Amino acid sequence: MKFNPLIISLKNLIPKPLAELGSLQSSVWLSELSFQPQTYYQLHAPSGKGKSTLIHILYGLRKDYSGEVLFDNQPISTMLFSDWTTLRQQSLSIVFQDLRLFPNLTALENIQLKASLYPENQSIHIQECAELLGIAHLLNHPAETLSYGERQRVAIIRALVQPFQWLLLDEPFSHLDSKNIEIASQLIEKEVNKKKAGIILTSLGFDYPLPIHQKLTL
Amino acid sequence: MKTKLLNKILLANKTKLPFIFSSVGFLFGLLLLLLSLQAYFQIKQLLSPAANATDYLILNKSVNVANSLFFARPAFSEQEIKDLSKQSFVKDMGIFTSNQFTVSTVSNSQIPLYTDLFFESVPVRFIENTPSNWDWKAGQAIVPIIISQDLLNLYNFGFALGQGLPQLSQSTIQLFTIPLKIKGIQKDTLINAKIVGFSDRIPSIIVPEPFIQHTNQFIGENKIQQPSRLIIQVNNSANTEIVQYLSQQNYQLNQDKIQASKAAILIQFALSAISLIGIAFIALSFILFSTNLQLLIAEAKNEIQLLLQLGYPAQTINYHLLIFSIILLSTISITAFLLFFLLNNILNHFLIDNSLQINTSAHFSIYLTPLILIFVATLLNTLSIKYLIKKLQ
Repeated sequence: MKFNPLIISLKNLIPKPLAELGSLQSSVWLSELSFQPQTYYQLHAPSGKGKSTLIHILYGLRKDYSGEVLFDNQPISTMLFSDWTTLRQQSLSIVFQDLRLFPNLTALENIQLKASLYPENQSIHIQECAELLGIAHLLNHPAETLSYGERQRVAIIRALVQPFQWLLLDEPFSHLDSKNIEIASQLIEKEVNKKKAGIILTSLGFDYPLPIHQKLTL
Repeated sequence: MKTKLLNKILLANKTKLPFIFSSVGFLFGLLLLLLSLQAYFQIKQLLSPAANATDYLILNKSVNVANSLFFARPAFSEQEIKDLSKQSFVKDMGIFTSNQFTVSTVSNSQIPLYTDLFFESVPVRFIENTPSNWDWKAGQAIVPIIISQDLLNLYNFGFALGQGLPQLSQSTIQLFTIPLKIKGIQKDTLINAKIVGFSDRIPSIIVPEPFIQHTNQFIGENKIQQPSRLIIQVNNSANTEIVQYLSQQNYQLNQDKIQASKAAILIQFALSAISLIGIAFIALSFILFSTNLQLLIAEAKNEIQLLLQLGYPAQTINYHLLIFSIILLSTISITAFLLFFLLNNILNHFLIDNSLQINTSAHFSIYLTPLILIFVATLLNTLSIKYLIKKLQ
């Protein structure tokens, strides 16, 4: 299964927990919407409006929704687990809000774990990214000893060492200062452009130094 | 790199004690099984003669007081002979025909000795190294005789020494012509006999079948008589079926060959018991082992789920856990082998010191057993790992 370029369409999508809450003012839920390739989207909403839920639905981790999500016209509800494995290897990359690093692996090992799924040797690239984000000196420290902001940067690098059509960023800068947000944004933009990919970014409403094409309110 | 990272994620910091316990159980069970298998094959080899060697057993019924009082011959009935010939261990069967006349030597200058004798005959195919002149036709002047080697030994080492008679070699005794007097209810006659061979197999004085039939008919009682001795050919006298059948029928045997099979029954029983314990150990450690694998997967549940989320194919994780279990089982098997060879070596030294001739090399099934076990375990683990990982998706 190859998606290139991948159009993501939502049709009347609503997560079940949100549907139970009743009336919604949203440009995403219960509407027709497509995410076009190589486009940067920012979804903003206060907590509890389903930002992470949408990201998890798009990444195949949650199935408790009504309506449909289509990847190039194929409903994702019909996809097999092995299809998701291929998608996560080739088309979708993610920075989880809760980062999901292996605490007993070092920062470098966490990144290599992802990189080792692909034949290319990316150690120089990883080193460059780490230096850029100011965590090069921490690469050999176990992830559990790093601060949340440092871990966030490790998770960003991990998301960038794989091929993808879409980069899903779930509040990726929440623990970074504005200087680091700027550096990280530049790195992300560079890598996403190189891969001719799109971005779906969630935030609590802040703007980030990324050339967002469309802002949506959840 | 990937393997190292997966090891660190899936196996490091996980409970290892249960694995050590089940490994020791597996090791012990395998060692027990290997040792009893080796012992089984060695004893089997010791008890069974070369591949297609055959043994001959001579059977008779027990003689009891009634036989002595009433002159009743403990003979085999037609039915009994038929039943015996149907037994799977009987390859061939021959009937002893005995004389229905009296026979005695006539003392002369060559043989200054008078003795009563008896004759028996068996079908020629039961006689080992049949002499070339082993035949008799009516009117033939000299009857060939084969005597038991034991009989010659009895004469040479018992009789001759005590009576001041010369000891006789096999070749000397064959030079003599022995005059015999045959006396039956029909008539008497004189005939010459010559010893032409010696038998280890048949403890009797045997003459060609045509001679005994002719003499019974024309000199002796000329009646049909049920045989009181039978000779059977078997493949392996240590076959435990023989002992069981014979004791059930209350037949007696001339040889102590059958003792081996009595021992074999006991030894096989003991070895089966030990093998069973070994197999039980292995079965238990199998269960323990697979439970530990489940525990390992349960403990690494979050890690496995995260690996799947990162795009790791389930097969990669299955394969990694499987390789881990194969390496562990192989290590145990190799250790069991080393211990086995060590113990086997010690045992063989003991056997050689006690001058037991035994093939000390390991039987091929010794090598096969752990391979089969690893194969079966791997098959079971493959299924259980696949099932458990699928549940985590």
